[in-house]
Amino acid sequence: MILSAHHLGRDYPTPSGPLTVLDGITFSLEAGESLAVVGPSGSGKSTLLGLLAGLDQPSRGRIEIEGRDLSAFSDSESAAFRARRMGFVFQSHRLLPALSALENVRTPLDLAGAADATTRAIAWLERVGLGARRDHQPRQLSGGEQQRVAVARALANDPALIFADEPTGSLDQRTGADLADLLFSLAAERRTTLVLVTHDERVAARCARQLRLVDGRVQA
Amino acid sequence: MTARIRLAWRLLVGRRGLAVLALACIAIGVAARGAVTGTVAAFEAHLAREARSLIAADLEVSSARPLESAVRESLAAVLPPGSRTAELRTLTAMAAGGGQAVMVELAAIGEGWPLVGALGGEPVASVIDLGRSPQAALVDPDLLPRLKLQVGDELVLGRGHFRIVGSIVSEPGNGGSAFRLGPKVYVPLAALGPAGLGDPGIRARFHLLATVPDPADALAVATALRHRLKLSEAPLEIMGPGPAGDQVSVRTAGEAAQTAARAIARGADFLRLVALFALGLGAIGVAALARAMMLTQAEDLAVLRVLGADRTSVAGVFLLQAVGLGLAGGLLGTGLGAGLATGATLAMGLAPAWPLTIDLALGLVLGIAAALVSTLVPTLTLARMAPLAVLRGEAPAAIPWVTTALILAATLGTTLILAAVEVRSWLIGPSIAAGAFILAGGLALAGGLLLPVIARLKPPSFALRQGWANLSRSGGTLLVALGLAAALGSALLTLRGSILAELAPDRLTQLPGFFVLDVQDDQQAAFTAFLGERGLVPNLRPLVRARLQAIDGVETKAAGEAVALRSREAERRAFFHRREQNLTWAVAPGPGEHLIAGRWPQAATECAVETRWADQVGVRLGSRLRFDVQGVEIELTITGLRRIDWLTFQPNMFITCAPAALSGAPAVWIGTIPTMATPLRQTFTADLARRFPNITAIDIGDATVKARALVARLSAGIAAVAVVALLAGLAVVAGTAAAMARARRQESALIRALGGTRRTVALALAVEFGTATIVAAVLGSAAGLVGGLLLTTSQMQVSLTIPWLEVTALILVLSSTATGTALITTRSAWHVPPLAVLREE
Repeated sequence: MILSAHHLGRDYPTPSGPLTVLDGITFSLEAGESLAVVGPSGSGKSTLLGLLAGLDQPSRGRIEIEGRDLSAFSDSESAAFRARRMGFVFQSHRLLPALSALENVRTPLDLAGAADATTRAIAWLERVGLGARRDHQPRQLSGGEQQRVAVARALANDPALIFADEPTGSLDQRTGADLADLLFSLAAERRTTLVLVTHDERVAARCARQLRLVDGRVQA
Repeated sequence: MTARIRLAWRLLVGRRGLAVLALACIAIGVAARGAVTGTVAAFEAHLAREARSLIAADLEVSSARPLESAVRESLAAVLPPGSRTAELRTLTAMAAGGGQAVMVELAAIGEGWPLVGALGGEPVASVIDLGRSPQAALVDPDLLPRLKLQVGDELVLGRGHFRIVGSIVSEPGNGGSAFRLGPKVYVPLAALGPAGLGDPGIRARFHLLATVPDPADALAVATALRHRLKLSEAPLEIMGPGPAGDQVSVRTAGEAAQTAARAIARGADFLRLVALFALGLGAIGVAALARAMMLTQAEDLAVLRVLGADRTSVAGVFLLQAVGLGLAGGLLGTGLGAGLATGATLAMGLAPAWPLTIDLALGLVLGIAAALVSTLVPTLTLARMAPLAVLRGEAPAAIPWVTTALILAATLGTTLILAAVEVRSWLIGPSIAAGAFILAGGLALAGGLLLPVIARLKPPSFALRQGWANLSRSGGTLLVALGLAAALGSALLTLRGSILAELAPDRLTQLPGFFVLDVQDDQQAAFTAFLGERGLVPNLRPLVRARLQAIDGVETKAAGEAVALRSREAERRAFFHRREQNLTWAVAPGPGEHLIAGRWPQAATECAVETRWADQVGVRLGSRLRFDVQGVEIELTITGLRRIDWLTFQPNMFITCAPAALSGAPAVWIGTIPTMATPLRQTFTADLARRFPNITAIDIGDATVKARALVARLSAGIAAVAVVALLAGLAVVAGTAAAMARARRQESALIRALGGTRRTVALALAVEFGTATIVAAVLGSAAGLVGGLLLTTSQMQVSLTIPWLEVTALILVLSSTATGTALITTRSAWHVPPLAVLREE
């Protein structure tokens, strides 16, 4: 088992008392499995993704990744774990605008201290069909190309887990489908576990499992 | 690390507009400091090079009394073989000619003078004539038109008639002093006696000069001579032009140069403080820009956090940018400062010199420190940010107020220490810096209260409404930075205006006409009668010279030697302890003199002292002072404190006693003569010089003109550095405007999309910046006036005169240039097509 969540909950303090945005979330994933987290806006999907990635601390419950309790990690351990074992794809690509496509893909490799960062980044850009555009800035790329660079960046470190938050949400239908193909095929090829938050039923349907959230709880 | 540096660099380049402004904010302050340091270094290097020519010798022995044979024999005994000596006597005298008389600085030169350097005259042969003819005089070219004389004409000095053989072209240094009481005149030493200027009643300074074969031996020779003469200390001359008093003084050329350098350093201390002020303003600008950079980089850095960077790495990337900016700003500022210093020194006819490496390094360190301190709050904010919240579009949460307060307190403490180091005073520097902090707080508070009130006004005009509604967006920082710059400008203008007003020509009618010196005891009656014949009544005060030996039984000499002289206060106190003290006696306060505490001295053991002298020396009511009055010890208890209005030009001394205290002590008299009608004035000085050649009469009108010129020169120097502070203020305005440029672009695009014109947008921005800058300039100027009032009345004891016209001009110029700067900085808000902005967002 690569990832498991046990009775996960998250509250936020408000002037009128704690607001529960997630409660009682329990699930587990095997290596290479894919999970779609679906549900209406405000149901807690992105919050769950943040907790699973170690970017936020749960108010209760426990998360285990590769058998290790995520809440026991310090900030730097958690960061180092993300750099080595996790990849991210955001709704709006979230490329660093000051860096070229190559430098963007290199970034997680640099953060993980990889010695052959440039070679690996170039290889990943070629895999997503953007080898010729490696020195372009994000603003010189189309929306679909930017998102492909984001996929290459997510996979650059050969992570065990990829978290994708609405990866096709900002793309048109055709480009979105192409990107989903790319993401699923690369994840399958490398037996990478995929957790994606999406509103797109077609993308969700391509995942092995679905987790439907309503008001912060799993709907059976 | 390399990857982080590269990322920091790329992120910085991506916000190069903000980065360039931050660079400018730092560079301006560092440049101001570098310019001051470089100019002082050039002066010091010049003095070190020209040290020997300052006293025209390697070594000087001098006294206000004729040098006794024992002194001469001692010098002869310590001088190595091959040394040379020469004599010089300096005095002030009245020079008459063409029916008029002018006070001159007379130098009577003995054979062989100058031992170092050369005296140059026009015509060239005039210097040779000066050596050959006992009646020859070489004069300052300024003297000739004042007496309507030409080369070859006769000049009367005392009772002697001299022939002007030429005018001075060049001369060895003036002992390191930049001050002169009158034009210089050289005559042969042998001519003084026949002219009556060598009489015992004539107050002169007697110099015996020497050169040694190896100038490096001068200090050893001086030390040996001091030992023989039982002079235990090197001369301490921090305030005046050179040694004074009856005591024999021994100094080397190097020591004279050090004295001159110390005087320059004292002036430079304040210029460095103004530079520090400019750097502080720059830091405010960097803080505003750093916040803007933090906001624009927050999303990028949040992405980094998601990708695996920890908090320290993210903060490190931002901090690296701050260090880079500080280093680049420091280097740029140091280069600019060196350029300015080079220009200034060349303009003054000096060879440029590079400041010490440690000074250069300090400039860089200050630049980096300013950048780091200014970016500390945004850095900590980024370190604490929740990346997911930032990626959802939320602004990073503010750090706890306790942390902010601690950072502010640390900044305040560091600034106070820096100010103390820069001014070499634990009192003056920190006081001024603390005043600036209090002022900044006051301006922030005033802004916080006033700007929301203006923002609530709802005028019918959209531009006014929009501009005022946005005041709170940038008004606070802008108000503090520009207000501080305006306060500095206004305080300097007030200070200058007040001093110049005290010296204004129209005040001359209230002042005496002449100040007279060296009226001997036995001349007093004849002198009073001489004036009475002309319908004039003098105000004369006796002057008795003495040395302060002990305060409350503690020897002052020991106290003076104990201090390391590292601070202004220590220097001043040691100087006031060691200097020759002038005592007087009176039965009641004179004109311009007020008893403010205690009672007037009545017994022979009592005295009243001037309050500021008391502060400098460290005494109070009841303190016991022991004086050596020319060989006789007297002890006086302070019974009264006096305030003296020195600018009334009435004669007075720091220490006044009851007449019985100084009974029998040898005294000279000084005093004033009332102003007189022009016909009488034209002949008065010439008559006085004929009748009393030893009495010096200083024309107070001339003196005030010279003082005004001096104040103007000094204020020009300070103004040059103050302009840098104003530039720093403008850089902050640009930085503040740029910091909010993104929000303004969005807002302007929206206004234009809704039907507003480019003019409407520009007008709204002009209203916003114009109002904020006018409020800042007015509040700052008002604070500067209060500062000026405190300085003029409490420190300088001159009446406050507000130069309304200049202060108004300052407000208008500052607010209009600041508004213009802000509009230029935000031009993209009203220039860029709105669709491009809306698409981009």
